[in-house]
Amino acid sequence: MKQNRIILKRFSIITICVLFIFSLCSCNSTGRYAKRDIDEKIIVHALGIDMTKDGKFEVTLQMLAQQGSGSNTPIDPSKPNSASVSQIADTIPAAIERCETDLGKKAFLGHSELILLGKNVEDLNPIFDFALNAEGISLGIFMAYTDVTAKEILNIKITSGTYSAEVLKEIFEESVKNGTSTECELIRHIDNIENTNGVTVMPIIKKIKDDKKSSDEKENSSSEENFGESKSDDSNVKSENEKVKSESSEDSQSESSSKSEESSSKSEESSSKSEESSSKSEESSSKSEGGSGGGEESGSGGGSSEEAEVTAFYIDGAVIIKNKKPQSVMTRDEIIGLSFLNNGIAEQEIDAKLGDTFKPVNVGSVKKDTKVSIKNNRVAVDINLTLSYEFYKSYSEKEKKIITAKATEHIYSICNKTITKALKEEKADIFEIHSLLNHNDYTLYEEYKKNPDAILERVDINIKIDPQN
Amino acid sequence: MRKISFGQMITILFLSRIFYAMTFIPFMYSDVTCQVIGFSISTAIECLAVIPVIILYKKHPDKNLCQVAYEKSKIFGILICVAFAFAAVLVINRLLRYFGYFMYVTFPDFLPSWIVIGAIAIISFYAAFQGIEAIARSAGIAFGFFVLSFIIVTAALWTKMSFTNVIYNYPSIKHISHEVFNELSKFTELLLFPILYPYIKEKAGKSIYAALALKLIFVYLITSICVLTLGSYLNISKFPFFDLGTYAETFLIERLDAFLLPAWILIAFIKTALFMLIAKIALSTGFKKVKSNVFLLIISVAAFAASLAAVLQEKWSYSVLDKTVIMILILILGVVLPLVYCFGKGDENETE
Amino acid sequence: MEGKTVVKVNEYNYETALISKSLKQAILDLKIISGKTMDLNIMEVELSEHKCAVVSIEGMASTSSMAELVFRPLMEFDVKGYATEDDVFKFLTKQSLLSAERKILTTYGEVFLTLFSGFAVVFIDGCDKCVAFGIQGFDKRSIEEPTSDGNLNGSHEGFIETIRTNISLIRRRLKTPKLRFDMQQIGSDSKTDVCVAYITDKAPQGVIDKVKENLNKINLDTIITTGYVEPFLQGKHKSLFSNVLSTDRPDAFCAKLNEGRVGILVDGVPLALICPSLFIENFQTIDDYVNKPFYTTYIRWIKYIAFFLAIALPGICVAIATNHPEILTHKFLMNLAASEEVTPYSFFFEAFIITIMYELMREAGIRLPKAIGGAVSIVGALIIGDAAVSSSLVSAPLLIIIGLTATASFVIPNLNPQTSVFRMLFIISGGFAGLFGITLCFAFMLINISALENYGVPYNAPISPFTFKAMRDVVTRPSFLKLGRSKTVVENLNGAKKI
Repeated sequence: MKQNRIILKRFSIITICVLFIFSLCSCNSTGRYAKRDIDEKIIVHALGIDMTKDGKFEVTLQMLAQQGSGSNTPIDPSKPNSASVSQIADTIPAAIERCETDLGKKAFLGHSELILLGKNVEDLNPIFDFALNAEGISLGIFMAYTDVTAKEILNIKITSGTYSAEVLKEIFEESVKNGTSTECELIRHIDNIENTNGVTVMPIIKKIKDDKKSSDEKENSSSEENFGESKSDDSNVKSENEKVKSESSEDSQSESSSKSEESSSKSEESSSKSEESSSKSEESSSKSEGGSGGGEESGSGGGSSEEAEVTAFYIDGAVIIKNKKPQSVMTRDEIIGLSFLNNGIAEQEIDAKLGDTFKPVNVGSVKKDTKVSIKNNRVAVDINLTLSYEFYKSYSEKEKKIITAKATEHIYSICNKTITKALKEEKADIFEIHSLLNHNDYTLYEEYKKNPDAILERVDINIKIDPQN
Repeated sequence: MRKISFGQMITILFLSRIFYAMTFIPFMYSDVTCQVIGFSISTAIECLAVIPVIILYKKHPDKNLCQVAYEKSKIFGILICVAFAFAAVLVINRLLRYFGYFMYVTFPDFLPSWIVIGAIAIISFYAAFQGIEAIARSAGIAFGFFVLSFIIVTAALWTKMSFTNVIYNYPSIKHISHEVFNELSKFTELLLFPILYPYIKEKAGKSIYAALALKLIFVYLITSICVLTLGSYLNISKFPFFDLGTYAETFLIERLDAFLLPAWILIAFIKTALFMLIAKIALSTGFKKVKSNVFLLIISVAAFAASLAAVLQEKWSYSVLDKTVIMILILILGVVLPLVYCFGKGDENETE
Repeated sequence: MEGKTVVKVNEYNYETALISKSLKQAILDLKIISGKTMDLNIMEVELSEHKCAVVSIEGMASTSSMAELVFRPLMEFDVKGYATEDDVFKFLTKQSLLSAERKILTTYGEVFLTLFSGFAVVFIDGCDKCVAFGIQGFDKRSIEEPTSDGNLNGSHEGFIETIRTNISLIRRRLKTPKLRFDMQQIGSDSKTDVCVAYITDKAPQGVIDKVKENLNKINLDTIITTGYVEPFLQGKHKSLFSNVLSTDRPDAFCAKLNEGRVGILVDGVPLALICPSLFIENFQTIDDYVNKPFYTTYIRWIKYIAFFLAIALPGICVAIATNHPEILTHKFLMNLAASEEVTPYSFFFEAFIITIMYELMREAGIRLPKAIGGAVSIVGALIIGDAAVSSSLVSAPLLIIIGLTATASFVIPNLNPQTSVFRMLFIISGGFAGLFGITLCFAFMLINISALENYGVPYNAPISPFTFKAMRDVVTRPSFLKLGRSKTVVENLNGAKKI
């Protein structure tokens, strides 16, 4: 009897185990729970979202397309290992699904590093909805605007770094450190929008080539910050320098780069043509690799062309988003001012004009004290910045003093510019006023919650800069 | 009989509680300030609520609550044993549903929910089958794993924490009371402790207070890390602590969310095993003639079947069953009953 | 007595049968019992005109010792006139020292046991007792370096198959009268010598008694290896892990005896068993106590990592690659995806096949003669290593993973059976259910280890139940200045029960 019971017990346990394994196996092969190997997934580096004229979404997925050299090196970092695919649909998930159908693989968004928004994207609601609900998208994904279409940016093939999304991410990280960009992770955008009067700031990514054309118009905003230009940098040359350099590099590159440009511009044309017929024709839409051939060739031709490709992007200014709609554009200087006021800056090169020449000085934040007080029905926010200045060793004490004064004045002015632009003109709480009010004056915070714009109108931000050598 | 140490008892009680804290705290759509106050008040109430059981332990250190009840009155004792088993089934059922929901939301298209909860039920059954010592020893390692995961996540997010994310709100009594009620319905230690105290070697009373203190510390820690890192994203985050994982990035691991998953599974299976075990102990106290492992099988199957029915319909939460009914059972079995046996007739009061 | 003469002695009832007084009958009995086996040597001789016989087993007794120590003194025995059986018996037992070991036997059972142990037995006509002399001279392996548990700085002596030599190896290291060896014969046919070794004031009496009790429960015909004894020492719990440690090093054995463990030696096996043992002891080697503490601490952690890698690395990789690719860093994922692109099978299946191939190669390498074993590894390296990758059957990252896993498993040879099986379980569960499956497998392993207990000591002590003092020898390796006297004895660990 006892034996029987033991046998029965063992039998039932074994049956359960076997059934369990079978059920695991069955769900493994087919249906919703089918397991896909990594090579059956589209590893998406970056998502580009544009709006078509008829209000549809055009989604571009930049994905891994390895270009190896031999069986032992499946990925050759000297070649662009990415390709992109675009599709148009009424919603973002539908467009992604079309991309999936085109390639016969499932998109894996868990590794996407940024979402790029084309300049014609005017309502961010569906985009935030998508980003928060799509499977696998990280909270730390970067979201930024471009001044062209996202597709155009994502189609650029770079020859240094494995793929352009990686380079873009690095550019963002570096820019946040030196204050030329605000933090643009998805979660920070959500946080800002929820807490403030629905305001957040998204940096703008630009292509160098476009900049060349329009650099005459905005000398001011072009950078002291020089991506990848360290070799011949005397740093007192401003935007003209950039222009000259890019021209000279163009000269040195001679024909190869111009060829690549041509071919890439051709590809753009072809892709724009394909947009029209994309919903039907598979080939034109799924592989817009036109530029890559030229890019590759020029990459192998000489190092200089690589440099040109690396500096294909830069961050210039940002868009103020209010109520999930783009409101206005902030310049690069205004963003630096914002960074000084909000997060502090690890290091920022400021060029102080001394006589006819510019003298560089490295400025970093040391401390930030903020006080909130109410005077005459006005909310006074006093920000006391303590900054450190690092000079060249060759500067004399007198020079240092003058440079400090000049640089401080510069920072003061850009900070004020930011305040005027964001707070006075746009009524945008990008200075963490909500948090300051919450921590200092709760009744005012409650009012702010009810009517933020009314409170923001009453806010005055006063800056005091305390240089520390 | 005295099998588990003071430290092991703390770990068991702590792990049986921390699952909810890890999964849901800070609760979505709920004000964090109220929650923090609610946690403190509920812990204070919990500290008071355990007093009767501790007095009962001092009076009958070798008999669990079911045995005490059974000896006083056989029929009532059996009723109490069944009530304990029922409460355990409810708790397991709730846990399996919540776990199924957690997996359903965080890893959709991964495995069918019924397999997920089935696997947890089977492994918990095996653990309960091996007895309290095996569970206690495993709990020690699961606790270590939890602390390690916690430290890694905190370290990875250290640079991303910011005080500007902290937004206070004036707490309202209505919200706080809601949080207190919510938190007290999770106070399942009061079901575990009266059954398990005969197994502890020393300092049984202190162990439950230590577990409560540890719980409060970790709840505060989890809440503060979530608030400091996620900010107002908490309002839309279903599983805040898990979402920390999707945000955290290390040089070795790109995202820590799946890395955190083992901590959840280990804690869920330990808790399920513990409640299966106490149901088995309770029932075998009431029905001495039947082999105790038969009860274990019945309890496991019953809890699994109940959860399965809910999970297959994708019904993850039953607010009356999960909160009110369990709360009432906790109150009756964990507070009122020990109180009756402590100060009932014919007992001499032993005080230490 | 009368009854005994009526019943004929045969191979089934000889054990308790008394030796016949008549030499002729005794020799006849010996022949009947042994079935006239060819290796039974019976030499009849007259000592001072009294009939005697010297019986031995061919190959078991040393012929030179026999000639020197038995034959010559016997031939020199001379009593003036006719010697009685008492004279001869007295001469053999009291008036001479023919060998170091001398036994007086009364039953055929004892006679055969001593004969088969290499004794020479002298039968005397008219005497119902015989005398056995220990002149064993069978061939045995000389003491060599242990093959499995190699070390650099410690002793290079290993146990051999002869239990008595092993005992001498232990005794030489522990010259205390408190070290006891209790010998017993186990196996109804093999009568294998099994020796329980312990230090009286260190090993708990309860454990010693329990071990002896467990040994007495063995009801097998033969004991060929320690594996026959081990299950009886382990207790009822069915675990995948073994709570009886085996070692082939006398120094490690002595160290464990000194920690209050009970050792079991089995004749014919160059291994000794130690119980109770802890999980953590699988990671400790004798070299740990030779090297500087800082180095040992470092190596210990390497071993812990190795155990983790050996068990879980392929499983975790499969789980991550198939179910959670978001965990991997971007470049790693890209490399993996790129190398997987050309392979025909899924990552899971590749890992499964490669693991099986690895086990195959390993098993072949062990079983084959050493010279060919080397060839197997060359074939393995060539076929699996190079050809599989270049022909795109297997991706290169996977091969690295399996290679690393295999190397890691060599670091902890004691746990090899468990690591092999769990590795496969982890791969399967990782492939089907990702990290969820891996964790469930881990939970199963955890419970399996946690439930294991031996002689009152939890197998996974001192980690859980946690004992701070003993953890010093787990997390680090304290210097002997600290460790010497205060090393925690197993019975003092938290969670240990007195039995």
